[in-house]
Amino acid sequence: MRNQKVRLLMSSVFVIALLSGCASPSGGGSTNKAAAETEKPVASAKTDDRKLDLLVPNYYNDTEKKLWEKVVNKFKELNPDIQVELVAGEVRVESGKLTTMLQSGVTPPDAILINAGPGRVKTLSDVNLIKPLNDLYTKNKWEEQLRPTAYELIAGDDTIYEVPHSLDAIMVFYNKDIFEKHGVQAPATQAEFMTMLEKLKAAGESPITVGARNGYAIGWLFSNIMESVAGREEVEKLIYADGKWNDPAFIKAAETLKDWVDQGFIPKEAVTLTQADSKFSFLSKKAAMEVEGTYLISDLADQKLEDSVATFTMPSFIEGKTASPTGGVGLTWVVPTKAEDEELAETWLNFVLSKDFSAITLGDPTYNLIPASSSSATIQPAGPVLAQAIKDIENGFGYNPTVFIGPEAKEAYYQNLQGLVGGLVTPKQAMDNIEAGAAKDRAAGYQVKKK
Amino acid sequence: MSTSNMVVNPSPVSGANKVAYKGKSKRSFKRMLVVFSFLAPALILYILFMLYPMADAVRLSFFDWDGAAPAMNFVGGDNYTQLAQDPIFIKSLVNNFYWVLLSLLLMILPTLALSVLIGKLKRGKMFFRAGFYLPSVLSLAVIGVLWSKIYDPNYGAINVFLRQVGLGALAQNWLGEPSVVIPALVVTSTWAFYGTYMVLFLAGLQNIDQSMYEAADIDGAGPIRKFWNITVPSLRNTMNVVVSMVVIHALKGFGLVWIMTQGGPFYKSEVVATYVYKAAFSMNKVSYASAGSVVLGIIVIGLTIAFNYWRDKGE
Amino acid sequence: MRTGVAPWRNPQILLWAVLLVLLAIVTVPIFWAILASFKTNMEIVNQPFSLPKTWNFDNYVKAWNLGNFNSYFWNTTLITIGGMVLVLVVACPAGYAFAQMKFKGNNLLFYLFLLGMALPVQAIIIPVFYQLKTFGLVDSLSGVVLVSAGLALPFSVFLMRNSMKDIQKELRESAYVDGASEWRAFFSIMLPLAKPAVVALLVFTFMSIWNDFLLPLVLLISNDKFTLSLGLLSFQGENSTNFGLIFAGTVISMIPSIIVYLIFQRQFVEGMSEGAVK
Repeated sequence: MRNQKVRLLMSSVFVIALLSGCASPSGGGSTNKAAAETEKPVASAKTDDRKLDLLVPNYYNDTEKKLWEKVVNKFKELNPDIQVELVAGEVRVESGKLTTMLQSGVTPPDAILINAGPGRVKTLSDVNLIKPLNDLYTKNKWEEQLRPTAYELIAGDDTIYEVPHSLDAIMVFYNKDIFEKHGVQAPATQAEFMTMLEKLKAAGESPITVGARNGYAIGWLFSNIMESVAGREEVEKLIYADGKWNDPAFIKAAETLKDWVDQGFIPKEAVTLTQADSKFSFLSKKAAMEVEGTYLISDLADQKLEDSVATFTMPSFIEGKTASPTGGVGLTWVVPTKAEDEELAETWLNFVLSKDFSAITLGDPTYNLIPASSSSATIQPAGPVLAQAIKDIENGFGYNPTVFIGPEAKEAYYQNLQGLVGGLVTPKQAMDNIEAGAAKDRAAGYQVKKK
Repeated sequence: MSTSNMVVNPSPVSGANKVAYKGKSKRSFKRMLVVFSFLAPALILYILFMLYPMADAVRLSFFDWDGAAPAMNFVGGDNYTQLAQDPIFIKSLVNNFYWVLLSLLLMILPTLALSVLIGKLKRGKMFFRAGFYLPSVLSLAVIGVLWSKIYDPNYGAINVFLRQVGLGALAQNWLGEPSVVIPALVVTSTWAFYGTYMVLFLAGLQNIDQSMYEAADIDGAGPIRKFWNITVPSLRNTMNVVVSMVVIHALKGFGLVWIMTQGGPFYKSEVVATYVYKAAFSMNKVSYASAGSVVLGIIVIGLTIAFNYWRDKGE
Repeated sequence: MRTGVAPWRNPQILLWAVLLVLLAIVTVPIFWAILASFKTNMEIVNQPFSLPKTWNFDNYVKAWNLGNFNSYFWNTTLITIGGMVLVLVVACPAGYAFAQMKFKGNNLLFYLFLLGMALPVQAIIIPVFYQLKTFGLVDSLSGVVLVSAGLALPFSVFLMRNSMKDIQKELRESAYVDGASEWRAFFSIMLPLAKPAVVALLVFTFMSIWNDFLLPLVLLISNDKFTLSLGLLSFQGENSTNFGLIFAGTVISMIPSIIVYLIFQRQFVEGMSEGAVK
């Protein structure tokens, strides 16, 4: 057999390799530990140059990659003596990776762009993984350089740990071609919204897709439903005051979600879809709508779908009220306690809030975030969807609870919303479970404040 | 080779004999040094990365630590009492045992049947053994990603196939239906691990005395009777090993669940390992998670010892 | 084999046919993934079972470069080789000591090692993480190497001890008569005789470290240190919409283990049956 020979050859190669491996150290483990050590790739050996290390959320398309390159190049142009290394990675506090890294003793980046929210920031600040930035705020007058809404959201406590990067605007994205095909239009009232859903359903379309396996994604949809069905005052009470998750207004919101699934407006399979699956389904025109933030813009650009997708705000279901997109601070910068050079971070953050940064980002039609800086307010965005989103939140925006609630409530929120889509839990039970989580958070001292 | 020059021990007499002579204690000390030089590296590594962490897990479970705070409070058995009252932890334990049961059903008989078929071959045994073993060389990440796509409700191979052959009614959301999700995961895990058991069965089959079959042939026994009366009893030993491996493997399952469902939907496929991982690494409940992992460890080690005891007794 | 019987009446041919069909069913997922890795997104959705229209390697090129599979691949290789060397250097002498040397506590120590085979990794992963943290080895490849080797040790020592136990004691003793030391006896006589077991050990260690998921998941943090398993997962993660790319990544991750397995399958399989049945 030919194989036999090959095998023999390979095994002898291996045996020789191993014999030399076995023979060289004189019976001690120390030598070979050192050998293992040398495998460590050279990480950040050069310290002679000033180098700014940044960690930003993962991106998976060329559009976002190019945008970051543009931004970094501009920064280098303004600060020729600073090297920049921008790394994309997992920055969702919930996944634990970030906490792990900051705890690990590895030299952390100088600044990290994380998914914002008091809950997430608190997880890090509670264990002193990130620095208080009050001094920098005073020194650089950052308060004035932020949009007032952004500052309000992060300055509730005496100590500030973050610099907002962007504001979220979560709204309904829809495929214009599907709407046109069935003669429906972006709805302005509850009645129009429901008729539209029924028409699409009757025509055999899948009206709304959602990636319920990713808690934050089903959270986007539910935040819109809460804004429309329960109303902003109720949600505000829930987040900042004594509102309870099992108040009738929210049970009604949960019933609405369940009802949409029961009626087939949201496919039951959504329960196992990830956000990626759901987005894919929407972009490949297998579903008419998806509730998402402006982040989707870069995917639209990447897939050349800018002309066939547009947005609307889910109308309010309460008489006489208007709803807005939901959100809060979207992405926010934090500075790790163990970061080596605070001044570098300071320079970078000043740049992020500057007009230069706003101009370069908003000037690109593929840019997908609403800058939190006040300097950006005067610039007209080149992308139509982003421009629309900025207009829609001019009069304030609704709340995306994911961003505001504590860890126990959030875990329950994610699981129970998924349970609602899967028909595995009743609306009342679901809201009771989330409230139980929120009660645990309160008992642990979790409270969100607003300026 | 410095060690060998240092200690020269020409005596072929074993150490046990030597200890008897008091005057040779110096030599026996040298002898211990030699033994130690062989064992030390393994011991150091083992103590550092297995024994010590084991003890540390137990220690942590009696404290209240979030993984970062400089001080930790001793809370006694609080974490364990909390676990006993935590409906999700209980549910994950139940899921673990359900998983064990399903694995036993799905894994053992079909794999044994397959092995018997392969064992009957006159030619090509090696080929089929190698071929059927193939899935077992893939990593869990590969298997998990691959099978989540196979189970995908819309574009997954299974549902698309069912729809194409007109059985669309059977198509379902394999990882989304509460009653289907664990069986679906167990099917994947069976696919991932059956190869090892097949190899063990094949080795066991080879050791069966062929004359027993010949004798049965003379008695006019049919193949099914031969299977139950000769094959199965002769494989007793192998069977023990396989059953204990299946049980323990099922209890340890983490990778596939983590990759394919992360315990969802709505905790329906949560197992202890995933629950503990979430608690430790994303909710900062390090001590609580340690307590959970200690419980899992005790169950697994307990079962292993029980299996071994049972087997020794049976022999 | 009787001649002159129609082939479908020949039980061996029937058996072959049945087994071939079974084999095809069982391996279909693997081929499905390979085919899909050459397709575009739209093709995967619309014609999931067909052959790709064109065999283009775009997905592979993209996964390798944009998807960082190139760095995942090298990280995995480094970790695996490091772990294999460490396991060998440590497990061979220990197996020898347990199999051939007489000393007090031999059995006790050996059982202590066996205990490790029963211990689920999940039970110790949390302390291991914090322990490596104090060593400053979290998010480093060497940390993963050390822990992987530690975890592989119980089985490795067990395997080496069992295979060295079979080697006749007289051989070793005759070496002593020639004045050889214990270490020389080990290198010149035992190790060469235990060659098949050593090869099996190497292949085992390769498989378990190359394919490991939990340790890298817990111990590695930055994307540039990720192994293939982790990379594949993060790759299919949050914002990826590209199924073809995911399958390309899947295929890249599985090829090395399949190749090593095909080359060494006999040693591997035999080592396994010996190791477990004894």
